[in-house]
Amino acid sequence: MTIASKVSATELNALVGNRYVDQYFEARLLNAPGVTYEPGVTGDSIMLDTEVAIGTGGYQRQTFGFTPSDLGIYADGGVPLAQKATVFAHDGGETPLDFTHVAICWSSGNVVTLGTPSATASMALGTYKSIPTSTAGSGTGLTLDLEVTDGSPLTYTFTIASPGTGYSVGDDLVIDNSTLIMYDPSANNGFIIPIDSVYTPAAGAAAPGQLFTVAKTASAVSLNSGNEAVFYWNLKQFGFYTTA
Amino acid sequence: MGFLAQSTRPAVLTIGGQDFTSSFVSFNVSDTSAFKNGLLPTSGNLVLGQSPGQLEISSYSRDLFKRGTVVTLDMKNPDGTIYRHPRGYLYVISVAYSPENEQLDIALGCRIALAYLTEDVSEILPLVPISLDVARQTIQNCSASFSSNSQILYQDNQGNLVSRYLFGSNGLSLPSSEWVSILGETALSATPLQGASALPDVIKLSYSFPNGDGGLGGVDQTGRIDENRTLSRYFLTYPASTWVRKQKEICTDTDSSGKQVDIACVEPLPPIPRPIDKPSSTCGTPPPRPNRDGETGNSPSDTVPDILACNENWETKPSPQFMPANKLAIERTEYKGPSAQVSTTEVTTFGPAVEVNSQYYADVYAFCVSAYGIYCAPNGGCSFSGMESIEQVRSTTTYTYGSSNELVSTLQETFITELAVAQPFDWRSGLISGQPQDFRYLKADTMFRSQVVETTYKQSENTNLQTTTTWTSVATVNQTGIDTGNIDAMRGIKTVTERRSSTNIPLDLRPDTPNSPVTQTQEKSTEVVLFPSSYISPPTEAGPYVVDESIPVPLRVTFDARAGIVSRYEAYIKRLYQGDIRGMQISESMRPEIVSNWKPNTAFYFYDTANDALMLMQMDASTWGVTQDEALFTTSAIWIADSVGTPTVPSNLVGNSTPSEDGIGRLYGKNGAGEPVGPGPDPGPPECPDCSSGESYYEIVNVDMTLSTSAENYCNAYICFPQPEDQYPNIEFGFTFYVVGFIVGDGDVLETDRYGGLPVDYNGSLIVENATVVNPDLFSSD
Repeated sequence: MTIASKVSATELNALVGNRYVDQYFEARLLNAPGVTYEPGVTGDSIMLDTEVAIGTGGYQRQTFGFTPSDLGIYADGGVPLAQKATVFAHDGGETPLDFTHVAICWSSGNVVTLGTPSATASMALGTYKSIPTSTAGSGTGLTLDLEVTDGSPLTYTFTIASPGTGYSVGDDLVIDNSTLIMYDPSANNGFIIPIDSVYTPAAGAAAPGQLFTVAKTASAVSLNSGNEAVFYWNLKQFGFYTTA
Repeated sequence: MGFLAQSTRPAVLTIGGQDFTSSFVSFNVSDTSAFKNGLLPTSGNLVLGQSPGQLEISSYSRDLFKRGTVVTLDMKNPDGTIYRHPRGYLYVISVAYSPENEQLDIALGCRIALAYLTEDVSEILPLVPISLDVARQTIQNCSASFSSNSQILYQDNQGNLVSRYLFGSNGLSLPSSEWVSILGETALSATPLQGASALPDVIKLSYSFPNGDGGLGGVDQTGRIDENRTLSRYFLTYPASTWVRKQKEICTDTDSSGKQVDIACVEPLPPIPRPIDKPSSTCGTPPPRPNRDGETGNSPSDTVPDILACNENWETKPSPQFMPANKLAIERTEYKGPSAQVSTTEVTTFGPAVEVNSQYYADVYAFCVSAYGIYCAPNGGCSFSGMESIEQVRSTTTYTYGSSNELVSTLQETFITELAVAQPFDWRSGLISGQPQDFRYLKADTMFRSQVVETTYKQSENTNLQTTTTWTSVATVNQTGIDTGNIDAMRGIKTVTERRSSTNIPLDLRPDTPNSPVTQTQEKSTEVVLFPSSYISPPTEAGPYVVDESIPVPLRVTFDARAGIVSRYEAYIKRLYQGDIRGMQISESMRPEIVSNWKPNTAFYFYDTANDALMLMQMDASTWGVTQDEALFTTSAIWIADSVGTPTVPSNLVGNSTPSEDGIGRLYGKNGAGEPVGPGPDPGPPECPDCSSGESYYEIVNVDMTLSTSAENYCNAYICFPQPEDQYPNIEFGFTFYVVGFIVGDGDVLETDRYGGLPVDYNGSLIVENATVVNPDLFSSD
């Protein structure tokens, strides 16, 4: 008789930690009516080719990452990672955001650290959340939080609100004055912030854009009127044997 | 310099108001220990001696002083002041004269001692702190009531009954010291109170209180009315003869030769009844079969074939009828007698009328059948009368009580229906007293008094006498029917019986009373820690040593008061045990600071100069002795607490105490030619103004710890995500992403953190309150 031996918590911890911690992923919406993804049967690239065109109805890939603190404690025969969420918001335009699947892929070009801003706007003291950025490069989705603190001169501290995807080291992030005015009408000038480092899957781990998982919605979804589609993701590695 | 314990002497002794001081020999009385005693009687004896020219004390008849005669004893201080001895107001209990030494021994006691003797608690009962059930109002339970509330009751030296808490002013606080005893200075002796008895570690204290909502219980139930109803559902056999038509089976046939042969039984064709003449029958006899065609009689038609006659292949057979019936018995009892004894009982039974006189209803039915029954319809369509419910019988009993609440008499009246005693001649047709009578229908609900029973109870010449007088209706006794005049029981047959008994066995049971003699109680317990580290283990048998104690009387008080009593009793029993183990028996002279304002639980400091040990003690079970020359007392002092401080002992040895001798042998003081100088002004008693006492407490704290695990689904706007930890899939080695998706309105979602995580203060949900849910589950087909 062959039985499955139980996998130790240490091993499971290592499996999950080494594989997923400090890695970034991105959620993509696919529009493949009538298609059921069968791993090993359905081609991953074919499946990913059905991704909704970036910008359709405001569609942007959504990223998330796992940090060491997201590694859970061994329980119920498995090691979980902290729950993550991705939100796809329709832009409120005429064009609906239609999709039938939601997929997770390995991400890359997610901004990890920023350089020193080379151009400095003048803004009132305070904290400004989720300021969108633009770049001449290929990256999208990066948003920054800005905290302006008192001093002479004032101190402007940027932190990454959302790491975006597709960025490269050396790309400059631009926050123009028209954007800042929406946060502080007295703002003048803008910011240019260089990217110091971005995330790239380690060699031999996974290729950027490699398909991770696909979930099919019960029916075709048409997101419109500025509505938002939210997905919660819970990853868990089990290593037990049970007949329960 | 030093302290001289100066004794006092008896000053005035009176018995019944007469001065017997010159006859005084000795006075020895003792107070009862307060160790779990609430009442502290004082008892002892007084000895008088015969002196020439004094009052006569010889009393062979032992009645020189009647029980209850007041004895007072006043004392004189060295400074000449007179005061009442702390136990100097007692009563004579008995006297015994000893002719050999011509002394009269008078047993003395306080009012409480007399109450123990006579068991008369009328003066004590109003003082008990916890009320007692009537059945428990004894002198012992009165004592228990006081001790249960950590109190004592004693008689002071003015004859008054005084109650107070045994310890402190409220039963919990430390008492205040009122005098100081110093070993080697004031104390004449000091010995341990107990031997090397084992120290209990824990006292398990139980207590009881009335069942229910914590009320006082034992509520007077006078005026209560009980009613019991018993409903029976059953079937009865209707008394009349009833009939059914049964179809015959054809089991023979005639063959071609005309011979009868057996065949398989077959059912004949259904009959078609036809009208026939009204037959005549007598009761219980089936109607005659109808005529066949061609027969003489009232044949309806010659053209009707035989097969159509209703008796063809049918027969009439008797068939009992089972009828559903209900019977209701109502028993009503009123408790309006003294002490809530039964005043009246009434038992009423309702049931079908046919049960009271089945013969009557059988005849009614038969009479109907005789009128309407035919062969093909043998029951004539007659109804089964008498199945209606009527009051069948009613019996009332009235109880009468005397001035002592004793049962004097009972009167029982029984009512039944006239129908029950009706005889066939009351309803059947025929000649009654020469008069023709048709069938007479009787009323079923007319009641009359069929029997009266009066029972009286009395005592005569130590004999219990029970007289029972019974009146019974003639209709019941002689079966005279209902038309013989007045059939009321009081016009009927009267019988009288008497029963005498000299035994102490009651002739009849005492009527019920809902008043419970004692309150029903429930019990709880608590633990009091005395010496938590007084043993080592192993051996395991060394401890803990647990002593079971209980608060003596049920706590018939409110819930809050009960909590206070239990709390006080815990301190009470703890101090008694600890204090008894560390107690000292101390003898002292009757110094003014001790005897003034004395009470049985006077606290004092005891100071052992040799060991520099100071402790707070409390007097208990004191024994008082007075002779013509001195007066002492010994108290079994119980330890209260260790104390700190330094008692001061003033010197009362002053003056010329070093006599010298002159040339002619006379003693002189050192100050010259005068008489020796006596002691100066009293410097006062030993004191300890800076002494203080502390008390240690041990508590058992039970911490009930529970651990609960709850899995919470963070839901908002009806959107919940699954909890993968709660799932138990059959997986050998797995890895999976669980995902849930939904759509909400614009702006109804909060932002994730930098890594897509949900901030903790979101409680696991990104959805804002009052979000517009467009699609609650993208992965559900429902």
